Amino acid sequence: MTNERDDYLWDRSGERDRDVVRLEGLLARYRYDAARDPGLGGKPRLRQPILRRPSVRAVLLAAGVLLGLGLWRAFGPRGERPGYEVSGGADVSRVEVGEHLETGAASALLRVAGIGQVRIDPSSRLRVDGIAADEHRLFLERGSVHATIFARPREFQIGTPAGLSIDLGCEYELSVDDAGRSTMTVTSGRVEFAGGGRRVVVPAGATCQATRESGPNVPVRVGADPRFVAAVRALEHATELDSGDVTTLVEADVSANSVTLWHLFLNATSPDLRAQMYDRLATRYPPPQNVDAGALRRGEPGQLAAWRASIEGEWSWYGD
Amino acid sequence: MSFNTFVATSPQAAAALAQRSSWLTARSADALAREPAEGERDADFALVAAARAGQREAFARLYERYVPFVHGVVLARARSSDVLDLVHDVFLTALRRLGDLHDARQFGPWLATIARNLASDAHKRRREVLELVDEPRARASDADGDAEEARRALAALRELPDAYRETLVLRLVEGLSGPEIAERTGLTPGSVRVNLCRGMKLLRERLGLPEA
Repeated sequence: MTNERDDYLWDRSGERDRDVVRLEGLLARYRYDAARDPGLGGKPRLRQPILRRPSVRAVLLAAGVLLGLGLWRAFGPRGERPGYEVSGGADVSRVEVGEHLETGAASALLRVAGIGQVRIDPSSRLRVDGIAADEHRLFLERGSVHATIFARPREFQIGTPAGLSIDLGCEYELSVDDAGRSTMTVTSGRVEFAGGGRRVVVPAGATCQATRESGPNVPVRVGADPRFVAAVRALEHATELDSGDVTTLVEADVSANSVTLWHLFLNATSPDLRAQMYDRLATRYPPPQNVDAGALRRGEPGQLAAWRASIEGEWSWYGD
Repeated sequence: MSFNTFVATSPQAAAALAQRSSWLTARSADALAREPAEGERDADFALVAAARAGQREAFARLYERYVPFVHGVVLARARSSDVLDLVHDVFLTALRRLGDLHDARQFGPWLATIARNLASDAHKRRREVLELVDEPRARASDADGDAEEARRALAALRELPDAYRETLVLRLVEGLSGPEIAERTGLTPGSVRVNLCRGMKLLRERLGLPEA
């Protein structure tokens, strides 16, 4: 079946096949074009509003539907600014920088071409704060969203009244209640949340809440023992420690709860509690060599990097 | 830090990018005539393993290496105006399910399966009230009639049997060589060669071209 005359079709060796060459030339216009794909750092791809597609206009006109000049002006020049297409139950079909979208009884889907998508749940209100080649910034005023992000770390951010979530990759839910409190649950990857002078990294399978006043609290595993969670909440801002709560933390499995113990070590108000968390973590994650052990125990930032890498490196990206 | 700054300041990233560039942009006959190098397969295996371990830059490298391939698989089944969105969906799905991929060497065939399924689902869901014509990108160098001829050629490609359609799209549209198609899809080189030859024979008939 195959012979040397097929060599050019196979791997472009041998004598050139005239028809194959002709077809390659004609069909190249359909080839993947990196310049048009924002996934490689180009400008965000702007889908033409459907009424601007020439073929659709032609059919509508042929069917006797007239497009008014006002409708043309509404969709024409505005469509040139960066924005996102929206489908589903939102009040708009496209949202640009500075604009809001609001959902009613149904959810909506916001497609961020080249980097991911955001599902906006019913009764939510979202604002677009900025769009650039390597930065996408949204603000969730109320309601909840489910983001699946495939961009490079830190390219995608969602602000809330209680703080800023920064995508480190790649799937999470974020909600804001009527009091402005935020809840974030990460399904895969990890997300940074910063506010109120605090910063936490929430890995897959963990959740945290945040308020305007105090920023994010210490993340806990989804499904963690309620007594453990209660002890964490009682202790993280406490200056005087309840011994029963401390015992609950000390007896908890270090590996399974490392995300919580690590953030307590970093953020707890009580130096005594931070020291106890250091001791617990050190039983599972030996502190690095050649660092000032005392400074590390006190949580001095300059000493933390290597230890942070060994602890955070064990957090699953897939929630298992 | 932007991607370009990351590349500019990281020797490893620059080396990976140079490797990507030589694979992605060098469509010369010499470049396509060779088999995929052992080094490239090892690089892919390492990238998949790194991406599964959570290294996002590794996934970005995989995107760059495989996007033309996924683009071709999707183009064989979907309207060209839908292809980029579907390609985007393929990689989103792959990112979500990467933990399910147990053998990193099967990344290409695994990705192709996701692409075929999503493209087929999109095709089934599509119910157009208005007939939207699949328009190729016009080019300044186009001779009269080239755009129409290109549209006819793509339409004829899409009407070919499954086994030939995808292979020919990857070869004639995306410019992958037969050995590269075999590596990406997991098919044997022999099967790919047969698909190319039989598919091209059918395509000639449908386009009214004389037999080679």
